[in-house]
Amino acid sequence: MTDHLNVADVAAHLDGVLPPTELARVDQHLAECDECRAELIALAQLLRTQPRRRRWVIPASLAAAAVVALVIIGPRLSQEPPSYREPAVSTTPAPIAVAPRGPSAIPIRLIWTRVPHAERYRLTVFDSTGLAIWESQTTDTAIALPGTVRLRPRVAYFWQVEAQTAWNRWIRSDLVEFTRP
Amino acid sequence: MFGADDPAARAAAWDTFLERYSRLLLHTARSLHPDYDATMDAYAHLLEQLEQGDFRRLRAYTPDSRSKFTTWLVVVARRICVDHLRERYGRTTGTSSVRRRLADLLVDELDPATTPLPDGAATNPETGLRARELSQAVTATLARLDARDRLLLKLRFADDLPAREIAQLMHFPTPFHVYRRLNAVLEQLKTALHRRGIEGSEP
Repeated sequence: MTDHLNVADVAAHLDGVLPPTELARVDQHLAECDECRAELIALAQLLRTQPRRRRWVIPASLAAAAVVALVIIGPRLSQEPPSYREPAVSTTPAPIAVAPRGPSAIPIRLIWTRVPHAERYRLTVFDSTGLAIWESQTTDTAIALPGTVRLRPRVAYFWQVEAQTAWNRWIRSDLVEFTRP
Repeated sequence: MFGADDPAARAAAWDTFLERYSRLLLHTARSLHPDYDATMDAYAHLLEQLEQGDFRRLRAYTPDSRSKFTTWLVVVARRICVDHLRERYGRTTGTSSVRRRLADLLVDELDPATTPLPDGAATNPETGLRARELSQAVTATLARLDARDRLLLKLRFADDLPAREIAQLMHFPTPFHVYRRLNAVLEQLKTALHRRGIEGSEP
């Protein structure tokens, strides 16, 4: 394929603002052109990880102390232009949901890979509408789904595991589908 | 801003642009280069290209109801960096493994009995014939699918993207919607194949 998508089409597709007829044309091209599709995937990742300004939220007492400090020593510091620290880029690997995947025997036992320095794991099982039907937390890397969770046979369910790597920081596995016999 | 007649105004516009977007441009350059020196080299080239011809590339942006300026800028910047990479190192031919056709990948999904054994043992001639028939039928059926559904299948089976990323790229509300649509499209394929007289692996 020698003709590729123009910049405007790619940008509009990424932002989800293409009108239906143009979206069909662009999707048609993307389905057939490996290069344009690879570009779109790479750009989506770039936009997901783009650097943002960090916002600071501090308690009122600390804010007051900061104001006092600035008044006293501020003039000496104010020569420096403000600079924003880039957000930390996480290199912690996400947990991988190992089992169950696809058709699975009962009793269902959820197993996943360990995440270095994870403090605990949170498991969630969803039905096919996205409703969470069970949730639990553990420090282990396996847990049995209790018998009280009724799963209908041959119906798709989904599960994912989240690892807590720091206070209020969770890293999530992909969503995995499974069914019971 | 960049269209101003006064050179001083254009220079001020460039300074303002760099103040706001240099981190984004650096992020783009970094995404294509593993080390600091190569990143800075690419970044310098990128700035040079954006300044060239009186900011010709930047002036090409038209503020309308379509994409955001930052999205547009990232697309332009990445393309400049990719061209720079290709000028230096040539065009890459992708991974060394042969990319399987989507139809063949779907054959495995629709009829696991046709999938070759992992130890590389040859399948029997009947299985091979079945796989070829199925592949031809799937190719014909794929051609009749909506472009959006074909793109969905390509992202899932050829590019091996997780549902979360597909949801973002194709603007599905949640990954669940991706799974639901995938299942619906696969069912559609199976139905079309049955109509052609091709049954699944179940007796």
